[in-house]
Amino acid sequence: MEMMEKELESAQTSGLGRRAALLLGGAAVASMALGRRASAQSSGVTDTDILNFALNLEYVEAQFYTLATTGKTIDQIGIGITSGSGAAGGTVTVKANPMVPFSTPLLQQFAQETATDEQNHVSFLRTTLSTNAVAMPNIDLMNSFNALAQAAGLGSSFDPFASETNFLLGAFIFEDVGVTAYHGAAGLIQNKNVLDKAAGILAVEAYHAGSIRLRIFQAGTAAESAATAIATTRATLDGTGNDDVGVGVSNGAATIVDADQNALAFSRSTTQVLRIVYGGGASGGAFFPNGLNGTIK
Amino acid sequence: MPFVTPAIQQYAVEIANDELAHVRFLRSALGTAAVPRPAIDLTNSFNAAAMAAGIGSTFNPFASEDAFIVGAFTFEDVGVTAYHGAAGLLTSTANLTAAAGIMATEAYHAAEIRTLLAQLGGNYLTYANQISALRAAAGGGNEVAVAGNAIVAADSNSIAFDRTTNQVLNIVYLTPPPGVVKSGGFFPDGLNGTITATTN
Repeated sequence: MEMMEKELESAQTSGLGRRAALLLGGAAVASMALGRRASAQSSGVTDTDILNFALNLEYVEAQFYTLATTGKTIDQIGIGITSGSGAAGGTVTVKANPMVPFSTPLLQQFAQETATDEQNHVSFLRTTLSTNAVAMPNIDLMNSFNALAQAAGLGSSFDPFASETNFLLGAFIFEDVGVTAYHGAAGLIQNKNVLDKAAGILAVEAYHAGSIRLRIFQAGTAAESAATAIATTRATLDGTGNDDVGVGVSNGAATIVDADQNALAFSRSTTQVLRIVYGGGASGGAFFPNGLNGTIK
Repeated sequence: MPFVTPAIQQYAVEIANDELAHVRFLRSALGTAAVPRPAIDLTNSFNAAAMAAGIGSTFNPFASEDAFIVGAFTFEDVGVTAYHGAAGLLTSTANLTAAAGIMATEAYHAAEIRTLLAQLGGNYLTYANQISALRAAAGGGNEVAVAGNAIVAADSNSIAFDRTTNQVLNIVYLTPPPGVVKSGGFFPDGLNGTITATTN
């Protein structure tokens, strides 16, 4: 607590000066220098490393929503998946004809909006990273869901493209994780411009997560129970056992927000995020059968 | 509030708990540096906003569940833009991380409210989007009208909007720029602290 007070004090006194010093005057985000952290507590992780970590996650989200709404992969609609230096992108393992049979126009519209958002995030990060951008790694959107369903006790298989409710649950798996990943990375980012953009992407992932969790809530107790089982599994996979909240009602309050007792959204380290997206694997598995591309993997 | 739908009441209770937790967290983090609560107006402010937005001469956000959702909409997206705009100003990693967590919670709320409005449709969706237009006029744009395919309030790169403290003050004081504004709207005597007046 005392430390926090001091930090707030120093924020008030140094304030704008430090921001001005760290801001790159008028430089386009695309041409930002993504330097190595200079501070003593540096973990040796650069902004490039972090943005590439995020790019891996955005590839998965963009592929999932684009396949769900159009039946096509993002590269089939013209979004790059090769590395900035031209190395080939990976493959996507997915069932045939993955378009979700939407019957609720409002949900279909939201799915399309989310697909566009995640495509934009991929494109934005690739543009920002330029020649440092990693290629899309191999992605699995079939066996991954089956394995997670088993881990969560939801059955031996799970097809997130089979129905609207399954689609919501599939989306649920990603969105809160995206929030915690960007939240955990925020404090590692050195460049204030990069931080501002990452915070904006974090907020968009939280918008997605909030809308998806609300729709799961509205879908009824079976969907809520499945989401809660997934949330529990995420907390188990990341090793904490307590950094995720399911969807339902607690003491008269809905649990639409995935946050701690201070109503701060949860945060995860890159290692914790990897444990979830690898389904517990050490160097790959689940959504990334061969691991992420980049230095954080 | 005359809640008749258990789910709406459960949403409201959760958001109330969250905002209360944020107040407690910030007061605790600030310790003796915390400012007291300024005077807050939740009656004349909404009437003035309704008038300025073209909704009508009065608006009571506590009159019905639908009105309550519009009232909540008035705040939530603004909270996201305010925390987002402040992120780059914070110098301590601990404070930045805490603020990012609060921002995310506000975005969860905002998405929930925007989704409910899209589902509601009709007059109350129209009212909300009139409020959105009013915020845009006072707060430097940074708005996307709510629709089934516009749940997220973000720019063309799908990055959430941010606002300067000036822009946020112009919104909560219900007074568009230009000029120095020190109070009005939801804060009839202004905010407490050092960031209380617009600088342009």
